[in-house]
Formats: sequence, structure tokens, C-alpha cells
Amino acid sequence: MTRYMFFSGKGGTGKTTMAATTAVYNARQGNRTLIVSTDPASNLGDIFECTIGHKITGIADNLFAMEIDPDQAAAEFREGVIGPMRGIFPEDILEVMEEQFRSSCTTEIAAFDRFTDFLSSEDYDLVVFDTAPTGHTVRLLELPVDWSKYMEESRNKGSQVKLGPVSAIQGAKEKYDKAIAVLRNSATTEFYFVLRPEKTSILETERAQNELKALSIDNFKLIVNGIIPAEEAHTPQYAKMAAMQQRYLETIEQTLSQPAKLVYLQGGEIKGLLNINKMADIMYEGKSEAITGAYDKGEPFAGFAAVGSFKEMLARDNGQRIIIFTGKGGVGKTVTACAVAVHLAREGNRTLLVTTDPAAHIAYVLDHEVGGKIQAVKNVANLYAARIDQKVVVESYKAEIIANAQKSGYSPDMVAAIKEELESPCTEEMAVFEEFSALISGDSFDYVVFDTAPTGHTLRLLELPYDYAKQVEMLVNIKHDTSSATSAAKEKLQKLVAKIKDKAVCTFLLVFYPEYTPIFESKRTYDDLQEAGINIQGVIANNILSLAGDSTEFHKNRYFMQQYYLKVAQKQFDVPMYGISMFDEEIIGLASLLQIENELFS
Amino acid sequence: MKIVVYEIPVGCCAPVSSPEEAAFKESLARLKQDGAEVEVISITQSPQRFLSDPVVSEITQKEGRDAFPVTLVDGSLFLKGRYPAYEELRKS
Repeated sequence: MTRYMFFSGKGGTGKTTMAATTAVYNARQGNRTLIVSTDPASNLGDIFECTIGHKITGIADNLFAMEIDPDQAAAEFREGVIGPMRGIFPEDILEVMEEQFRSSCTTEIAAFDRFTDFLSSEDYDLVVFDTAPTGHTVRLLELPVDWSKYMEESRNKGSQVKLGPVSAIQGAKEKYDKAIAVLRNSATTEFYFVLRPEKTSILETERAQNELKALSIDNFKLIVNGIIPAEEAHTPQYAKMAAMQQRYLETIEQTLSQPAKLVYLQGGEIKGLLNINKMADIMYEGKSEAITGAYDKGEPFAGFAAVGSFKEMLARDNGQRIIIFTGKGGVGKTVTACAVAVHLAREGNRTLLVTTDPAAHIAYVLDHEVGGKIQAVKNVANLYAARIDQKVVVESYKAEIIANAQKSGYSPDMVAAIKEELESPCTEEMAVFEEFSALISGDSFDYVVFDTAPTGHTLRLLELPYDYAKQVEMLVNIKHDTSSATSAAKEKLQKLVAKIKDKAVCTFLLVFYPEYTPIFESKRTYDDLQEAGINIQGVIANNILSLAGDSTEFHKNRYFMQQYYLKVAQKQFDVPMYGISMFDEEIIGLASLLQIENELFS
Repeated sequence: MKIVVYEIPVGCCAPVSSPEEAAFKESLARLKQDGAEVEVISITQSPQRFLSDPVVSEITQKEGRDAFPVTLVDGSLFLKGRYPAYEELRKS
């Protein structure tokens, strides 16, 4: 019987490397193994140092690999459907259809669709997936509503075009039911969660697990990656971080309480079959020979933008300037946003900081509690802050709409469908975006600084004048319960979109870590916003290491790896780049914020 | 009676994106019980049907997406721009 392993984890946790290592180990144990990647940010070919692509490729004895780029698959598919319609249908209709194929859930479903092809294959002893479906995808595929049956009854045979990923759900229920049964079968299927001993990583793992547990998928294992090796834990560069990691390792043991494999940070990157084999020795056979880097130890990166240009970029004329930070979770957006807001306030600008960070964290960073209403930050003149509690906002949104749907006497199937609609990431973004708009509708601040950005997809949806407005209407209308509020809210949202697309008033900055996956994930964000007409004006590389006289070999390796990736990042992002040093402890309080301020502004 | 609804769906993933759409799709089964023949044509699945019907084709070309969903009853235009309510269709 074929076994399946799914690897789940956010970008930068080392998910693909762990999946590749596990595949290599199993292959060399004599199991015919296939590793499949559907993660657009990961790159199996890069890890194995060979060309793989969209076909099953032999890598070593018993080891096969295949890469699926769901973005590309979705794009090709989109063109396949829309291409023939160009010139025949009016532009505004084509626009709606194209956007449909761009949502993150559509991509997820496209990826899941590819999974199912392998879930019935008998050719392998083990299939390793470097991505796992989320709870949202699984629930969606389980929805009882099946409109296709209405359509099928009167369908003209032979007149069908190929169905899109979304429509495909409706026709392929049986196939997906089978696939979901495989996910639930703990005799054949394991879910590996790759995480780091850090707060955000632990919270994300918990959330992802709870979603799957609610769907009776629960054969979980943990891989905790990136642990500072014992011999580095007492060096000046890593001592504090190692102590912090120890605390989080305890948290992991207490809160997640699952079998966990601990994997230590390596000096070099794990690339090439030789290194992956070494990694398999370390992970699965308890060997301790570390992997060291082979980076050019020559010239350090010298491409940071000139000191002072950051300040110039954020300068405003007479009106208001909006500054929006974007980047993946855990890269330090909130801390950077805080430092920038503190700086602007100290320069005498009335500044509003809007954060979506959980309360406890922002209170530490700013030395100050921040609530839902705009309030002055006591220890910094001119600084005001407001916090959007994403969870509360989204939950109340959902609760009201569902209550209304039930009141209207919809059938349970329909209520389930509406519930799932509300679970989509787009809805969450919409809810938060609406709160944003409420906070910056006035002009009473010189600067408004956000630590979270809407995605390009959200912005594009909001701009579609007819269709998406309907969906907003559905949400807003039920929430405010008057139709005049509906058009007012819609208008406000659209005005806000226009405002943030205007370079003269709004600056987008991207925060990232100088490592492989984070750079390529950030590049996707960059491109996505660009497609929505927004150009990111600057990028900030966070956690930059520096060399000291007493640096260990391990630290030097890490340092040169970063220097290499800074050069890579510069090629990817064609905008000024700034750097923030790695701090050896968590950023707490105004004093440490001022350190960051200092690095960015002077 | 034959009811044909041409729609341009927009929801991210789930099958419904507005209360009227939800209500309309809920009423499909009832309409069938009442003896009506009902067909929903989605542009993502059957774009060519939007062109093969002369009434819908003209609306598509001249008015664009604002006019959708479009409902035809027995081949003639019944409603544009929103989903019909069950009661409206009953009356017709």
C-alpha cells in the first residue's frame, strides 16, 4: 500500500528541505519514492541541483521528483479559457473572469487537483508532498452544495469548454471525496508540520492543526527546524537567541504535545544530493557532522541604498502620506512599522500607527497598550495608535452574516456554503480592509503607517465596479443593515483603493529575510501588487548578521550565506534596499525601537 | 415555462456571493416542482451560449457585465442586473 506524507509549514521554515531529506532517506531505505512539489515558492530543482519541472524525473535510485507550479498552471488554464474569448466578449466581462482565476483559493484548489492524480497511483511505495492542503481547501471540497446537478440536467452535450478549477469542484465531487478519505486515513497518511522555535511559527502551526483536526485529519508529526546548535549556544552572537529558543521548545512540548524531531541550524545551505544525504544522516540516523556553506567569502554585499534616501522616500508635501508595510508573517513588519512611526512622530508629524498585531506583542514593542480606538501613545509625542484585532473583526463579521442567513430561512446546505464563502482568505482581508478604511477616512494625520497590506487580489476585486461590489454589499449590507450605508461603504472602499494606488500619497515597503524562500515569496507579493497597479518603492532586509572578531566558523558561514542572498534580492527587486541588523534579543520597548530607527534614518 | 439565467459568477471559491443569488438558487428546486424548466448558464462554463442566444448576445456586447445576471423567460428578456425572486417568477 502506498504511503503519503504531507509537509506543511510557512515559507522560510525549511519545509521543502525537510520534505526532500525525508524523501531521500526513504528512497535509500529501498522504498520507491516520489516527491511532488506544488509550492510556487519552493524549488525542488534548486535543492536537488537539477532540472525537474512538470514531469516525473529520476533523481537517484528509487527517487523521483516532480514540480508543479500552481501559479503557472492557473495562468495557463486562465488563458486557455479566456484566450479564445478575447475580442468576442467585452473587456469588462473578461476582467471579471480573469480575476476569478487569480484568487489564492483557486490556486490552492488547482494544486489539490494535482494531488488527487497521485493519490490513486500504485507506482510508488511512498509519495511525499512538499505542501499540504489547508482546512479551507478541504472544507470547500466537502461542501454539500452541488449546483452542477441543476446545470447538468439541461446541459447541451458537446458544447462545454474545459472547466476551471472552481467549476471543477462541482463536477468532481466523487474524486475529491476519495482524496479526502486518503487524508483521513492515518494508516497511510502522515502530516508533518515544519516549524521554528518562535512564537509566530508555533501559533501558525496550532491554527493549521486545529483546522485539520476539526475535519478529522489528525495524524500529525512535528519537525522543529532552525535550532541553534549546542556549541553555538554560548557565543555572544547566539546566546540570547538560543535561550529564547529553549523557552519556545518547552512551549511546543506543552501546547502541541506531538512527536517532534529537532533539527539544528546548519552553517551552510542544504543543497545538492550530497548535502541532502548528509542531512538525512543527521535527521534520521543521529549523525552529527554539520553541513557547512560554500559561499564566496569575498566581497560583502554593498548595494544598500544611500543613507538619507529612506527619509526622502517618505517625505510628504503638504498633504497626508500613507505608509504600508507588506511581507510574510514573522519577518518583522510590526517592529519596522513601529520604528518608522516613532521616527515620524519625533520629527513633529502627527502620526497614526495602525497595527494588526496581537495585543500582547505590540504592547511590548511600543511600551504601551494599544486598543481598537485611536489613542495617543503617552511616551511619544505626536504618535497615535490603533489596533485592528483581526480575529474579533472577522469573527463578528461572520457571525452576523450567518445569523442573518439563518434568519432568512436558507437551507442548511446554503448556510454551509455561505459559511465557507466567509472562511475564504479574501473575506478576512475584506473585513480588515474595511476597518482600515474607517481609520484613515479623515485627513487629521500627517502620516498613517500600516503594518499589514492588502493583497493585489483584494485590491483588484475592490476595483471591479459591478461584481465584487455585490459581494461587499452582501457583507456590508447585512452588517450595517441599511442600503444607504452600503453604497457609502462601497464608495469609501473604492476611494481608499484609489488613494493607496497613488504614489504621491502612498508608499509600499516590503520587509523580508535574506534567504532563499523568503525572497521568492516576497517576489510573488511584489508581482501581485504590481499587477494591481502598485509599485513597491523600497525593500527592507531584516535580521542582517555582521562579522565580529570572535565570530565562529558557523557564524561566518551564516554571514556569507546572507551576503549572497542580499545580492540575489537586489536582482529580484529593482528598488532601493535597506537593511536592519539582527538583534540578539526580542525587540522590547522604545529603546530598541530607536536602534532600528537609527539604522533606517541616519 | 422555460427560465434561463445567464450569470457571471465572481465569488472566490464558494458557489454563492450575494443573498439574492443564494435565494434564487434555493428556489430552483421549487420552480422545478412547479413545473418550470430552469437552466443556469455560467460564463465560466459555457461562454459560447452567451453568444448563441441573440438577446443575450446583444446585451453582452452592448451593456457588458453590469447587465448580468440576465433572465430569459420563454426566450424573451425578463430581468437584467439581478437575480429574480421566486415570487416574481411565479407571477410571470
